[in-house]
Amino acid sequence: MPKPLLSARYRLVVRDAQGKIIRIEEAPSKSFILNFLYMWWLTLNLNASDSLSMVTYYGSPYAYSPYQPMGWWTFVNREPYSGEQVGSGTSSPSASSPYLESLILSGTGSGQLSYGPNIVTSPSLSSNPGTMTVTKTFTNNSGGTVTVGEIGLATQVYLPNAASSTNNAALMIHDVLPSVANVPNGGTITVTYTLVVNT
Amino acid sequence: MATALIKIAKRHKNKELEAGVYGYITFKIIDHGKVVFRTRRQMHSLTGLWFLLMWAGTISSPLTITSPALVYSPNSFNIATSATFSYYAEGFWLTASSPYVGIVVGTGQNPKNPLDLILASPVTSSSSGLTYGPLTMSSPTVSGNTSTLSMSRTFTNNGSSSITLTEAAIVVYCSANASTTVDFDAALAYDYISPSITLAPGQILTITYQIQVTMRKGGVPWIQHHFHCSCSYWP
Repeated sequence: MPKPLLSARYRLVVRDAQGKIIRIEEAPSKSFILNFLYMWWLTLNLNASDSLSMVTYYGSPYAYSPYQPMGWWTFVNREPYSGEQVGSGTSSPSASSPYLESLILSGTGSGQLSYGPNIVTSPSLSSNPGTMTVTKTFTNNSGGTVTVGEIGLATQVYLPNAASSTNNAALMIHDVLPSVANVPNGGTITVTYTLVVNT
Repeated sequence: MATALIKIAKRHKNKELEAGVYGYITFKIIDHGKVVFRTRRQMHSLTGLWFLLMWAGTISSPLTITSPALVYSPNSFNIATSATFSYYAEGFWLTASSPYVGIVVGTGQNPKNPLDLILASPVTSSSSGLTYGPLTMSSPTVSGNTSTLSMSRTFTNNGSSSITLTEAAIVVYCSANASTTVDFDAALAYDYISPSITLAPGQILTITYQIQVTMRKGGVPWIQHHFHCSCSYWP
């Protein structure tokens, strides 16, 4: 059976308000999305003019058409939606959708989760396969249970000479959970994506 | 508080293709206007370059890699013995007209390692008579649940001897901020070509890379633990 060039797996851990683990799940990521190829296309091709779909600092969809090659890809913590994102949607993702079905916004309002910083490990490349992990913890201070049905991984893509674009994040992986995860008030959900290159 | 293990670690044996990003390389040889050879093979390897570039963009200091990482000096096949990935790297891209960037070919073989960032033995036009054509790319296309990004390049054997190719790579130009001038070329993907491809004098080889992602519905997790009997979301 051939192996993919690049694959990913996720691990999520849900804890209650006392820090007790109430759910652990680990699974292969199912879906790199079309947006991921657009990120490559716009990065590699100096003359590409297609727009790229991203999420802004405020959690809103944003389509950007770079007039310069896209810059570096980064998980640096300039805004909450770089790295892992979580949503409440449960529908199977479509090939061309560049967003989670229903992004859970960062905050303490009803239905919201406070997005923590990305914790990124140094790539492990001394042997095959090579790996890199990104972890984020989301804290529920909303006052009620928050239901997570989908998760994703996004990167910031710094765009030279376009300062307004630096706080946006482009989704590259979108996974719908086999069953929703209920995060109790005061609890947390930690999502880790491990990216794997098979040489 | 009642606690129970509802579902124990479960390894899911999935008979379908493992989810992820796949790639394919097509080799087509034209001789006197006719296609005389065509084969499509699975692409085997992205290198660790993309991870290193993302990591360098995430940390707040330059990242220098020495052995075993080797890279090329910009726009050449001259080896630089260390690679410095700058925090302020402005990106990596392809240049359509450069024979040193884009799809490149060689006659060597690297060991399988994520830090194979150069070809073992690149073929240059001056030494072999192999003429690199321009690199072409097309924007991603969607067919059903599969999306594809393609790029291709032609290689013409203008020499007097056959050339046997055993390796191919996608080499990108990595540019840094002017204050940390560490531009370099390195392989984003590297493949050993087996069986090898032989190009006779006058023949034209077209190499096409296709990188694909396929949407898949959610599957059964490898591991599921649930620690509260009272919970209702596991059947």
